[in-house]
Amino acid sequence: MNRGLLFLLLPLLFLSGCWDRNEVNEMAIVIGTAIDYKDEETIELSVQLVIPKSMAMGSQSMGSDQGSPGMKSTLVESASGYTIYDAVAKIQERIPRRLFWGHNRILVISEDVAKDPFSHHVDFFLRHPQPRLRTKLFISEGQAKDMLAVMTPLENSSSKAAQELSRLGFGLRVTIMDFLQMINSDANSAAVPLLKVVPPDPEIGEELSEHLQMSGAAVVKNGRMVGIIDDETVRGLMWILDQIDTAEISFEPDKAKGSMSVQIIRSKTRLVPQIENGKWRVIVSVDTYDDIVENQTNLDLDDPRVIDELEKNLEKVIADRIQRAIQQVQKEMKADCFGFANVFHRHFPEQWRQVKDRWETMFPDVEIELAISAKIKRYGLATHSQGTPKDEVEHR
Amino acid sequence: MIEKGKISAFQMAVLMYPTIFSTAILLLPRITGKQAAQDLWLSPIWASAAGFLSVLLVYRLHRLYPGQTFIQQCETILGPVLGKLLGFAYLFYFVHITAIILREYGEFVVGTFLRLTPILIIIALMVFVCMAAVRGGIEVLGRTAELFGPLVTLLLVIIFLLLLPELHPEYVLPFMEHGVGPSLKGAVAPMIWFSEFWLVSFFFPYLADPERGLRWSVISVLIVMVSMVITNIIALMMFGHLMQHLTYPVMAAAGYITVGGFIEHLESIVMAVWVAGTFLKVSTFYYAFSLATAQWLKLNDYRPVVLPLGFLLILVAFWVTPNLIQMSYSMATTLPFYFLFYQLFVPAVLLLVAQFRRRSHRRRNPGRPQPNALTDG
Repeated sequence: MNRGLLFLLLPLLFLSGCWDRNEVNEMAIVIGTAIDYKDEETIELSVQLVIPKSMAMGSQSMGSDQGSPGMKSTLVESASGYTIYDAVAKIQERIPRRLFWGHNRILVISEDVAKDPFSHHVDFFLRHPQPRLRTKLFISEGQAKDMLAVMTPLENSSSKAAQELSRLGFGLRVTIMDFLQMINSDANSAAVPLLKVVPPDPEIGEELSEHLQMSGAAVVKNGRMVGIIDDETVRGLMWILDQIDTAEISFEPDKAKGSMSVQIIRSKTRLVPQIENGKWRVIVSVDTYDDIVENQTNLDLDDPRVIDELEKNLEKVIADRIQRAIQQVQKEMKADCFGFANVFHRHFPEQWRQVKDRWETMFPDVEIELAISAKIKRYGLATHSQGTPKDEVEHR
Repeated sequence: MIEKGKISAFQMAVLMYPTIFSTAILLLPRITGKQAAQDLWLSPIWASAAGFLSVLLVYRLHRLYPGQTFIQQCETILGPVLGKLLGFAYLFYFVHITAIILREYGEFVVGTFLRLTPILIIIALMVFVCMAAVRGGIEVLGRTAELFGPLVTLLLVIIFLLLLPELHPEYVLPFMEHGVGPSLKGAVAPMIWFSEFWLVSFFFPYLADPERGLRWSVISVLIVMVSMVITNIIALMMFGHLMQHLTYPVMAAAGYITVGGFIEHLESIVMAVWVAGTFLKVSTFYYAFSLATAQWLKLNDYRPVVLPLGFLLILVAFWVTPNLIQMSYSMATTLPFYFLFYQLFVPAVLLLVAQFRRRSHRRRNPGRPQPNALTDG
């Protein structure tokens, strides 16, 4: 009995965890990271750290305490080094607490760094046990560390703001894992959302501070950025990548005056590869269900024929957006951000093996056929437009 | 009797499940994926043949010589000199494999979570806890398994369910891109795990319901196979090409889960599951080792040997390999043959020899009773 007791009590000596003890007030929590170039050989790493006291107070007094100095809830520190960890060591020299990467939400890479092969900088986030694979990846217009320094009005840190922007789904959603998967796949190309700072508009008022905007995307091929696409093209790209979640489309129907908006409730894109007579083709098949949320036309939404027409219009609008993405990404930049290489490999492994060394030249010639089906399910809580008197409503 | 306790066949099956599976869940995707790529989920299906075979061999030996564990059967079948030598070789095997398991466990904990802690502490603590369990006897082991085993399974199921939204089923394609070869090559390493089922040889003599022993062992093999297939498929559907770059895909997958922006950082659950599973695995091997040593030395209780063997295990855990890379390398290359020799090949040969001896004994002495456990001792 005594010996048994000894066995049970002996491990208790070690339960205090002396070596890996991580006290919360001894940690400097990193919530955002930015990578810029310092000069040709060194990179500059910036980390956004949480200031715990201010963060707690800031979230309570939101709205009344904007822009007052000394109440900042985060702190941005930078240092340069040959590798990320080299820079981390230099930052650590200045910070009295140990950097903790477990809550790192975003990684921003400046466009200068992105123009050279940059995926080796991401290695740290995969290899080290603390950073998370769910970290959102961005490429910034201008200096990456400026993104971290922005004091956004609604969220208590710019990292959180950027993360939520990404989560909302109006632009691309790319995590470190997504990015690495795209880079390591047969397609060897990726699209990464662009982040930029919007300066305060003096006409609106001095109260507003600058904020972050996610607009457009960078196209990455062979590990480096080869071009930028704008917001509209990104939408088309998202249709192909099946990343459309909840979204809005506003369009002007043919044969009617005015505009209409629909909200997309559900959408699914399937890529169906085909090889016929040596011609490689992908059918982009889109199924989407929408609700009408705004009607500024004179159309009568009670008429099923009107709805049919609208559905066809909608399909054309979506097709146009996709075409725009195809034109820029496939034909001009020749980067397989759509993942067609993977799709062909999965369904036609034999043929893929024969062409995989030539994929860069083959990709722009792949024919893309669009098969879009948009269904309008409901028209909301009103019928004809409020802007149209009753007798002018058009029927079909 | 050296061990007075009895466990039910169900408890034995529940004990064997984490014993086999808990190390597999971490290392399996990487080891099979290296050879089989996207066919890696087929590898456990092929490898399970080794599990069924081990169970069958051990069961047949048990039917010939009931009430004896493998070490005792060695002596009965091969005679005092050869049998004892073979038994001794097995004691070395036991030290080696248990130490490897401890080292694997330690490397994982230190590599992912407690990086600054000396690995000695991690390994020694595990050995102390298992020591307490092993000294408790087989009934303690059986009941502990009944408690922890389903818990482990439940937590794993929860993690897999939470991962469902992140899965891409199309990553399974192209199916059998290079034929069945890659998945067969990938099946070599899991056979180590499956043939560890031969350990039931040390439990069969102490079953309260021996007639159900075979059935529950087979069920256990099946469930382990299904679990391995699911683990591999989840890792594949989640990571695709990226899987080969990750050391511990299941950990990374658990870390990726986020539910409503609130439930996050679930790799701690994988950790808890893994520690519980490893505890059971080490305890089982440790118990078999102690029992085997005591039987080899013809002691009448195995409890005194537990403590010294524990310290030996801690030591050998250090000697086994200089670093993680060498250990992974040996596990992928030489160790399969080494372990399969002890866990599959030798039992098969032993069974053949036993059958042969019985047949020749029957021919030479018609009418006389067979030598068995009760007469030969």
